Amino acid sequence: MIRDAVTFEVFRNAVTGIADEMAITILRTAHSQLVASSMDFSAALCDAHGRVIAQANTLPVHLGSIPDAMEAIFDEFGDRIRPGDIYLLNDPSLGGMHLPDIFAVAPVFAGEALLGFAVTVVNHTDVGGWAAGSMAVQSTSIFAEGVQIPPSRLVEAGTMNETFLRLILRNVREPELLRGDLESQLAACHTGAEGLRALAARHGAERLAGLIDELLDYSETLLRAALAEAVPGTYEFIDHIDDDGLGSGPIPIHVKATLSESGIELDFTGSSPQVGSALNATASFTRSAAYAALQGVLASDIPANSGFYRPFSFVIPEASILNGQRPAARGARGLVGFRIIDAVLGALAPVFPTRVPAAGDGGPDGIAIGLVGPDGESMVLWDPLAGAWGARPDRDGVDGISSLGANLTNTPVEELERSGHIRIDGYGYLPDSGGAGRWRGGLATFRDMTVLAPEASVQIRSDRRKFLPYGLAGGAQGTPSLNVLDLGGPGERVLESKPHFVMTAGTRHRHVTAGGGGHGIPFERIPERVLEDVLDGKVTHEGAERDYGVVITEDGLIDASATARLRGQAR
Amino acid sequence: MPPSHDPRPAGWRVGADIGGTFTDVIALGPAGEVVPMKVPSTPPDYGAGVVTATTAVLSSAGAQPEAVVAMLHGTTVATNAILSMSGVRTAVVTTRGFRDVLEIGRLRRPVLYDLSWSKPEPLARRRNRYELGQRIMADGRLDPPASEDEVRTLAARLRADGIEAVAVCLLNSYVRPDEERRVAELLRAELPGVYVTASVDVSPQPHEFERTSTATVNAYVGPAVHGYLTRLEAGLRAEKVSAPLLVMQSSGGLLDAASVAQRPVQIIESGPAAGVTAVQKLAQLMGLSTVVAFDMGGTTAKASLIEHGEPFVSADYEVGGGMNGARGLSSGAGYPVRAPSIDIAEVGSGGGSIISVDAAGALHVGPASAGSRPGPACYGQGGELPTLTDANVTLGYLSPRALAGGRVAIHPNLAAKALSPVAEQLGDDVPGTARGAYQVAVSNMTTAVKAVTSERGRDPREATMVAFGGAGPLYAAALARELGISTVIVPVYPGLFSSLGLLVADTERHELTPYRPEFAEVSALAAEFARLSAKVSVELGSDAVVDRLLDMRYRGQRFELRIRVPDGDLTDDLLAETRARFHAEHKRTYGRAGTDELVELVNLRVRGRLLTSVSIEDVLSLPVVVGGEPTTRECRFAETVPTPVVGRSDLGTEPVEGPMVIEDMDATTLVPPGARVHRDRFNNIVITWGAS
Repeated sequence: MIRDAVTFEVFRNAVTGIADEMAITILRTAHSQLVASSMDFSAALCDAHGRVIAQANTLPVHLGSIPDAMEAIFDEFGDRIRPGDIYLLNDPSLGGMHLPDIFAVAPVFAGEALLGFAVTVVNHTDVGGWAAGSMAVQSTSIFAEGVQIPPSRLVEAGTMNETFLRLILRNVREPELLRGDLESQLAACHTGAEGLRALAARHGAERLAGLIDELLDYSETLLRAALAEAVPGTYEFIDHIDDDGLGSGPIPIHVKATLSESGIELDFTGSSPQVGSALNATASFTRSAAYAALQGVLASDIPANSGFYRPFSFVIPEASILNGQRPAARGARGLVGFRIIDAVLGALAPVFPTRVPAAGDGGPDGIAIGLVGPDGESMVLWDPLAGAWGARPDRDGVDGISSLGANLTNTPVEELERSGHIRIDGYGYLPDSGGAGRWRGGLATFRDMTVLAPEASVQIRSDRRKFLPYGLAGGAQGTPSLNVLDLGGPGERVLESKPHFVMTAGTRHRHVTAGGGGHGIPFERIPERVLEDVLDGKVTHEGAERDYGVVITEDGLIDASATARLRGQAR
Repeated sequence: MPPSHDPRPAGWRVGADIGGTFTDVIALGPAGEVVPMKVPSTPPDYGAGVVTATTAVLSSAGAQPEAVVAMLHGTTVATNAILSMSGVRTAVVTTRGFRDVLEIGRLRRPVLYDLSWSKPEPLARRRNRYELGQRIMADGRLDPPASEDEVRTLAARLRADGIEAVAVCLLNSYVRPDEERRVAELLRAELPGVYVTASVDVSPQPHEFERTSTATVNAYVGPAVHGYLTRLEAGLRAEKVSAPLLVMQSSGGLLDAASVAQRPVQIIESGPAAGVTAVQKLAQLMGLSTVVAFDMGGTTAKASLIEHGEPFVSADYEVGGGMNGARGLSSGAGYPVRAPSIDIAEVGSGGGSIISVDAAGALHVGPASAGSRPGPACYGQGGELPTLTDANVTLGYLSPRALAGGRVAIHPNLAAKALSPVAEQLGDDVPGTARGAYQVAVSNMTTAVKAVTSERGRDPREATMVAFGGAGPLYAAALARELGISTVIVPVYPGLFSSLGLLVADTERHELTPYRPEFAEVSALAAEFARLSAKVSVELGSDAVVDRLLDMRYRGQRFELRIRVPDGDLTDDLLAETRARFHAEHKRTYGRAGTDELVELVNLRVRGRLLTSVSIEDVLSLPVVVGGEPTTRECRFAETVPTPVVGRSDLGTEPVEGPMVIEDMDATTLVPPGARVHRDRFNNIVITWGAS
């Protein structure tokens, strides 16, 4: 219950501002492309119990990761938490998610009293292991993925443990980048600590604790109000990842959502056991992905804090792909997160039919191009490709956008070409690739690339080749993703979805993302909308007739009688 | 091009700034006369209001139209064309395979969880994005060059499709601007009357999406801006005002109308820049080293930082993207534009911001606004939702009778009526609720100030706040206290301060070259700087002050810092000094610095300024206020206290204790209890807080 609406609102503004300020510190000072382009980092403030008070809006799938990290810190340091300490961790079995995500946690004190914690997590460019970037799908054990950091004290009472830092830096490919990004995390922790101390000075520690309770209750109240319109019951959905990149699959993600007065239980029993490759998630990451879907459906503007978590409970089977056991590899677990989101949304679609969209492209596809320059220096061009959102219950999907689970940016073509090693021959939408429906799914995106260097080693993580983005309410599925090697050449062939291959100078490759699913009956789409899509080349004349039963004449008009005939026959 | 745009000071200078509701005009006479005028804006032809107000102000001053030596203008015409999607049918011409660059953008969205979000509609539809079978390689080779026949065939198609403006943006054109200009020239020749922009002429840097977007915005608003300026000049000439027309750029300098018509993308943030310029000049005059400019109007509050007399200028921003796009956490909401722009943080708190309570009992102010129609409930124009203005009337801060020099009648009972449902939800009384809304608004606005200070490593407590805009002086003292700022200055004509900024602005031109590998050799870097400097000197005349700037960052970073190169011949030593400046600025801004090896140069910039001969001191005369005997009103702070209500001229030079309300013709200044206030020799209202 809010005691004083003005003080509360001023406090809410302040804590959100602090978390945002932490995130901005990281965004502006970090050196790695993942931070700048993918916003693959998070910043949060926690109270003395490790509850999340506020989290900056950066990466959706970090939403629920902080509590587990905090628990691991408490388990390790409990009553030995001291002013001036900073803790690190990245171990997936001890509070982390996958090795590149390094948490830096700073306890905040006012005098002797522990006020709370400033928490940051950044996906670092490389933490060692066999593959550059430390996120290769083909890893089969965490021991191959890089340096593992259990909850550890990097800074003790203000003094940096140089030995520990040197050990980490010696084990990674780009130590200066890691050091720079780590420093930006420490700077953000400092920002957060200052902010939290200022709040305590303003309100007093006791009133601050009361305001934190009010804030957590506030999120819970808004959430329960949004849940009140749901019809209680159990709703199941199964979605799939095509394969694990090592030849095994399909990989089911099975969710049973039970809505009751107490909230929502998500039971993932029946999902795939953990796999041999690096797709294995942690339970914290599974919850994070589920929270992202829930926040999208229930209310996008409810403050993200521990109060938000309260109405939800989880059953996540041990040793499953959603909760892998050591020494399972984890590097590429992002894909599982995207599919968890698809599955949870699928389960909730009948409960919230006016809010849940059809499936989108299934997560960004990652293309890493390894090159060796003339001076023997090796470099990796990283090129994330994202396609589409599925159609919404009241509007079309979005073309050319990152999926709900990520919010990354593409790499400019001119940036990729600048190295002189590759040429991009085209980048755009493919017509007829959005799932047909009363509302059309977002279009697939293609990118054609020719290698100019003598040799390039290419690694691709994509999916949605066999199990396509689902449509809803009678809408059609989206189109599959695709990899074509030697496009237009004598050796043209289709590659699998997660290939690792070598290209030589002059070879051309096409990657296509999946298209989004449609929503509603395609033949009920307003013909004028089909016409607009045809004029824009997003749907072809043939597609208009085949998928929508709309006939567009040569000179760009709707042939009303032919359309009526086509649509009538279909009934 | 005339060597100098700076007019003789002998005549009248007229500054005209267009807002959504009012058009503000201030004239400055040869003997230092200052004549202000506020008239209703005249959409859609905003120029008509400017002409009306200009003639009115001249006749009220008894000046002849021929005596006007400079027409200085801040305009929203470019922004409006985008916000209302009323630009012309625009085409993009690009390299085969890349017609979707403009629409795909950077994939990122400004909101994380909103599943109903859609991208902004592209300013050139897919059907109007055309491809040419040409290619510029990354190393500058043309393989193949654009075929003239193909361009001519394309021109015919553009004509048939009814295209009125074209943005030509070829892939990699930043390495071969000549090839892109050749295509643009061919199209211009084939398509008389069509507005053609070559992307390298508005944004010569790499990164195809941002360059295409900048060029498309330029083309989209070009005909509207060109038409507007042409009509305005004709309208003024018909009234015998034939002085040169200069327009405020987003970067805070004036530019002649003909140049603006070619690069309208540079005037998107024209209005807000004018206000910051006025504060900049005031800061220079008063010798204030760090100033927060705080501008609050009807729908938003804006903050910017001026350090050592210079505002921070960012290299890009998003037009139509809502608020705070520049912070980087929320890009993707609007149309990116790469043009220098004063860095202004904005929040949705203004006089018209709506006060509400949500399902869980929390009190919100804005960002929804009652706008100018229906406006606050107390205006009696049919508005029923409570706004900040209603709260301020209820609290006694604003006159219960009339605002804006008597032009707007106030109905306090309607304000109370609108607020009472909110009070009921909160379980508070109406004045308590109004006071709460005032405090929440203050809290919201701290975000904007922090964005330009503490988030940039600047301590707001070391700054002086200069407050303007219709609502700024009402909140400034409370906002300053919240931030630990001890001094607030409310200059004369706070409600017309942006147009005043036009009177005192310098003329400014920018040139830019993206970094190229050959600049690793310092002589090549020096030669390029010399070329750019010569270019602005030709345009502005030999009196121009020319600054060399380098956009610098550490390897891998996404954000650059703009560092001024010290004066003198560009040598390795001077470059080392510039790098040292960069390290220092980075350390100051972000708390740490890297090594020389990590430093990257991104852009070479040259800024030329033709300094105006007018000093802001000339316009700081005490405004004449009609009527207004000092009186007393009951004002609600923590307690309700009788509060003196006076005019600016009633203030003495000795500080006195608040509370106090000071009513100008165009704004009301609130001095809370505990603060002290006096009038300084520039006729500023100066509010000070003691150590708290």
